[in-house]
Amino acid sequence: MKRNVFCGILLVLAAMIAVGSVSVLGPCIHEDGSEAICVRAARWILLAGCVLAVLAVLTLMIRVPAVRIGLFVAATAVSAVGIALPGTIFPVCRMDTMHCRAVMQPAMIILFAAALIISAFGIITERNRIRRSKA
Amino acid sequence: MRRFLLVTRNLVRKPGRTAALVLLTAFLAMSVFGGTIVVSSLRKGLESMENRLGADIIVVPAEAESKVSLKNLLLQGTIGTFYMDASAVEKVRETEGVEKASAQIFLSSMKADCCSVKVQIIGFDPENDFVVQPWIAESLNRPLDDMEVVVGCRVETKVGNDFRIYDRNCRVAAKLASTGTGLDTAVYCNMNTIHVLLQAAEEKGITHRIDSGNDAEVVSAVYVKVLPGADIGLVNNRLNGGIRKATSIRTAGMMTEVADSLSGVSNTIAILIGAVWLLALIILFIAFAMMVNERRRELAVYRLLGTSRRMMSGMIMRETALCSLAGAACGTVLGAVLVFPFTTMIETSLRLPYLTPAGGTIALYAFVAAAVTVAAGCIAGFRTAFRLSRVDPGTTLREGA
Repeated sequence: MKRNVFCGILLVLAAMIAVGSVSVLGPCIHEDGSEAICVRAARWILLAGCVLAVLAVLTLMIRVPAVRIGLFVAATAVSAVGIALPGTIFPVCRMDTMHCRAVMQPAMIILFAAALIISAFGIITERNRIRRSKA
Repeated sequence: MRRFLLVTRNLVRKPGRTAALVLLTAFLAMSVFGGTIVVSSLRKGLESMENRLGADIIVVPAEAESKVSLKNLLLQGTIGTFYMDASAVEKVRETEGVEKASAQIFLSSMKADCCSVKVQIIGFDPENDFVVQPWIAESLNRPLDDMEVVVGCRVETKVGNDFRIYDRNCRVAAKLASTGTGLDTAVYCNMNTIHVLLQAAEEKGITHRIDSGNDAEVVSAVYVKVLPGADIGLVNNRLNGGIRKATSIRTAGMMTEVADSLSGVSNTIAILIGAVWLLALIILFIAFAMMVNERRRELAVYRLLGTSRRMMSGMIMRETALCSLAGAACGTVLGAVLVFPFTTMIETSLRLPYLTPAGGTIALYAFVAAAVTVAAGCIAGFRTAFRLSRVDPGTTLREGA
């Protein structure tokens, strides 16, 4: 039970990222139907959220500590990239009153940062578990 | 330090109980800090709006109020394009009780190259202006040249860059300081520039002619400053009666409307904070009361080992203070994470001027929120400490046997 706490939280965060990127935390919608510049960032955020969710599910299913560490490391890397997705890797709209700047970018940075912290805690916990079992 | 060794060990050995206490106090600190920042930002926004408005009365075309709310135009940067005959400016100046009158022309960009939304372009008369120029003077210490613009802090461009409006390039001369209002998303230029842009808009098929259809000069609004000691209401009535197809609005009325909305929001936030505090305090008291029963035997053993009542209550108080301190720190950070990145969203949702306080003020609020939370935690823990320190070890251990 205890060892799955971090995986569970990671799964919830991944779901929030993926669902949010296509709903309330999504990109700007133009009235004329044209595609906003931030849509590409939102698509990659959705992909990163899905990858995080898959990693979290695999971590929940797999019991081998070494593999779990590997999965948490991958989740940390995805989260780190996710933080840079809106605004750094992919551009967002330039006026800060736009929805992508006011809502999507800060929300996604916070969610990915939380996922990164949780994954890092996951790595530390699994490493401690391996050390304890060796001792 | 040794005093805290036992306390920290106690807390670490009961992670569930410690986490619950930290979470509760974090919730208290978050609500106080977040709520205080939002309320003070709204107050600072209103103050900034009052300072920025500068005029006592605004004269606009009669159709303007049906087209756009002037309050929204100022607060949310709603695009408003309405025009009246420029002869209204002279009529306003001639009205008894008027000290200064300054005209402005509004134009909406189609899509500025800064972004995919329209921006409001405001042309002002540098010779008579008393509204925009004092504000511009904070960022630019020379007169604004032709085809130069000054942009609000939220318009994404840099000083020295070219800003393209209706296929005309305007150089960005300065970026204005934040006001927390819709004025932050506007672009300002002099009358010569706005006339060039009006012509350019005309070429694109966007007309700015008034209903009479002639080619008369147009203005969108006239900002009026009344003579010191003059009755603003009386001047307003004179303006309303004296200028055809125009209506004059007292800015004080608009400010009162904004202040009323702000007071409503502030009261709601205060009630919410109060409710959260009451709930969290009740839960804290219950949690500590449950702790009395749970730890009765543990503390009886301490008493048997020779711990004095004073030492025991001190230990419990230190535990409570440590938990509250950790919770206050987490709650303040969480409050900051939830409020500061979403400043623009809060502002647009509340539809009120919103200006975040300076760093020093924020640090002070954080300190006060943390101090209040630790104090509340300690007050809740005091009763428990008192009751537990009076545990009779013999009776307690016999009861459990």
